[in-house]
Amino acid sequence: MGMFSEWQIDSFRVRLRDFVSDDANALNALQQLLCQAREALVDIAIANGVPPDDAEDLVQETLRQATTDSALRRLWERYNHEAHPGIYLHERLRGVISDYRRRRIPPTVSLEGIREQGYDIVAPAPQPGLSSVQRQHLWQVIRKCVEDDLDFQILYLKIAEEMKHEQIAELLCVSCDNVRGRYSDAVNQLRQCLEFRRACEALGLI
Amino acid sequence: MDILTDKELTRIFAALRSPREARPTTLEAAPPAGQLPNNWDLPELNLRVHLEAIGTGVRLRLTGGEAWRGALVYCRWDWLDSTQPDKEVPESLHAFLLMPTEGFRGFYQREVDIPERLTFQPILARIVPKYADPAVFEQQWRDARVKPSLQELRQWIEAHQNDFPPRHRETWHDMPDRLAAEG
Repeated sequence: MGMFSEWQIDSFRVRLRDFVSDDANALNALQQLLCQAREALVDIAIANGVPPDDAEDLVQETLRQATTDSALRRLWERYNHEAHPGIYLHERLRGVISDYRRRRIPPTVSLEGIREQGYDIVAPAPQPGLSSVQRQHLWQVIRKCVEDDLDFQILYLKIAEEMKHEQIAELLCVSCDNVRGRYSDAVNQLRQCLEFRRACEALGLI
Repeated sequence: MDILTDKELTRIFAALRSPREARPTTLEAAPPAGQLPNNWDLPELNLRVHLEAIGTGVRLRLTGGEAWRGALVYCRWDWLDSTQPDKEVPESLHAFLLMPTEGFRGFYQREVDIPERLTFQPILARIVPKYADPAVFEQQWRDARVKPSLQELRQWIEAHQNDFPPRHRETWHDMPDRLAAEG
């Protein structure tokens, strides 16, 4: 979480402690400190697929929620002197983005309603289905294409387990940047692996 | 030039996702009363995972092929505290397992007892000595509720001394002593 310097993180922890000890000035200092991450949070929101016009509103909401009395007290109760402003804001933002996506799901419309409005009902494209044996075969081909055990595990955790880069990094005890870079390289290796392409063609995936 | 397009890759990756049963994705509540014993066959990883009730916890058994020989495996369960349904209180349990270097008919098996009645499949990963950051590993090791002895860790480190990048070798080498000093 590179939003804050070590000095700012230490300062945040001191202010948080002061805040729970009812220091009247601490809340203002905490708000000022957290708001310094505004631009970084907007970038994160956009990177997560939020349109730029909405990203600033979501970040504003994130900062509002993050600086409430109860949220700050809960943070101190859970993490004490190890509370990290970057992680804290990141998790809050994730929750806000999640709520935002939920709100944007279009309301359900009945099939009859669609017909009455004169629209065609288009069946969704069928998702490709593979048997367990076919899936196993494809993973074996991937194993050969990427060769490196770390890259294979990153691909598996990302694709099959649908884990986030941060979670994968934690699990494999490597840095998040390392996971991000290696995942991207491994996907490019797959793109260019002729054996992988042939296997996918044979399974009717392309 | 790229051979597969983004659209093709998206479709392939969707097909590679196995159907999931009896395991909550991260940050969903754990099944309150899942069935035990429970088994998962992960042919993609050449691994079988078995959980059975023992005392107030569970016994975890991993059985894997050659890739799992002598591997230091990080296991992780994440769930939400079902006693506080109105709040999202994440819970997790981390464990390290050291797979044996001697197997039977090409399979390597290890059992450990986990002090929590977990009924769903853990997320698993093998630590890759060449790339693992010793500082991150050391912290994960401290946080793990279940782990091999420091003597076993020392043996694993010694066995992989040449796999670690030179800049990390000393940190890895001294790690068991550091951890032992912490008690």
